[in-house]
Amino acid sequence: MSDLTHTQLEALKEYTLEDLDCDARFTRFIESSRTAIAIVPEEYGEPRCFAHKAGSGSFGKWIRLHKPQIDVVIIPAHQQIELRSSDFWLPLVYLTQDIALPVYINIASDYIAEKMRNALKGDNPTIHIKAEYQDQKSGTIKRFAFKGDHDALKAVIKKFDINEFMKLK
Amino acid sequence: MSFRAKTSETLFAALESMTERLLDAIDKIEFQVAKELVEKIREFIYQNKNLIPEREKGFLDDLFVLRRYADLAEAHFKTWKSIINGEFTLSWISLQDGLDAIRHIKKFSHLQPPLYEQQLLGLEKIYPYTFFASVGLMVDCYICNICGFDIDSFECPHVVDELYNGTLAQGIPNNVTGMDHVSIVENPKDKRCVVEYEDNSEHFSLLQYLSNALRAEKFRISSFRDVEISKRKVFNPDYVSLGRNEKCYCGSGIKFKKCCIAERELVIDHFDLIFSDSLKPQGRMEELLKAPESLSVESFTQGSKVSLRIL
Repeated sequence: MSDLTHTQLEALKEYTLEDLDCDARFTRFIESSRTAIAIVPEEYGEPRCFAHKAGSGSFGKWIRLHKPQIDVVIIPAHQQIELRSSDFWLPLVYLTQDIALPVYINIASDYIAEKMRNALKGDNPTIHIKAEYQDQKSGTIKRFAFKGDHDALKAVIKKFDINEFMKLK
Repeated sequence: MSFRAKTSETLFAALESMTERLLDAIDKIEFQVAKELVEKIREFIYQNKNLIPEREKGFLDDLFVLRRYADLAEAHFKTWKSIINGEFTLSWISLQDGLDAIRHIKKFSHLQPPLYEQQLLGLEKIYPYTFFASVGLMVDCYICNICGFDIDSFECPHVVDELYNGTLAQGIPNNVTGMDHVSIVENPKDKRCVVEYEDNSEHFSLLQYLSNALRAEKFRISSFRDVEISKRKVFNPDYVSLGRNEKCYCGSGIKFKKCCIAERELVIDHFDLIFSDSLKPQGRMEELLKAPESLSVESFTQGSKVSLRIL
């Protein structure tokens, strides 16, 4: 932590890690699947329905293409929501024990970096990331949520080196 | 190497001379000539697509970039043409078309169009649009324009916004089932969805200033570089210094110390229009400053800058 700049430390405020009392969908997933990353739909609309954010599938395909060693699956949904925003809204993902959160955040960062190849001078989109995983020791389901720019995301990655991450768990 | 195939480098070299002629035509405000040149550029790209065999890897993707370059050239001259004609709402659309083209050029080649990028981004700053409407739509799925499968499924091998043999993979909405929300946002995916103002509205006063100066041939379009915006404090001309316990000059009926005592200075937006010295015609910059303006804009020089304050 000591080698982080003040700006990076400020950026770390842009993520949260909370314990979830219960997430039945996640529990079912973790009990029945060995897939490392599952892209899952979220609740939207009125009446509420499960939908993917547009581009969720492309994110999954990108992982398959660039990280072929990582198993990824897209849980189907009947609807998609198109947000028409220049922000990057990555889908909610479930992570099994096979993939550590820092690894996933790195993948997300690589994806964003490639997407930002076409950025114009001054472009600084906000990135939204959500991931759920199960703490190995306590069995608690945790939800990681991040909202910030790419520099802030890189600061989080720097903090989440594997040793820090193990302490966190 | 700016491109994936060697042939494309040769093609682009040939195109560059046409682009130079195009910029010259734009500088002379000969928009009909500019339009014809863009058509020639498109024709040139089309002919080469048919003449050159596709054996070189990446050639079709390069042609996509060249077509977007022609789109950029067209959007660029249309932006300025609309500004000169006082069609500011229309010019915003062309400006966004140009910026979209630059995004593709940067993504799929090593070409850097810095003049266009800086100039169009500079222009973007002086439009009055800061908030945009953004619609959240519910859609059954998106169909891939290349293979026809659901673009978000693994059945479709294409990734959105990537190039496949010169075709950009895009999802076509299949059955829009409803609207989830309409938001007012600062960073939409598409900035064309704006709250419109009349072209003669005071919101366009800086563009009107540029338009007048261009019509009077006070500067060359290619010399326009950027706009820097800052906040400046100026003396409030309406300010009246009174005793603290006297009634305020504004007519509120309350004591000066509890009303406008702190209004001695106003914070206003200050715009610096940045021009390129090398392209600036001698003496023109000075003329620009002397140009009578019907608008409430104060201008003065600072080297290669024209500083503007909306009064």
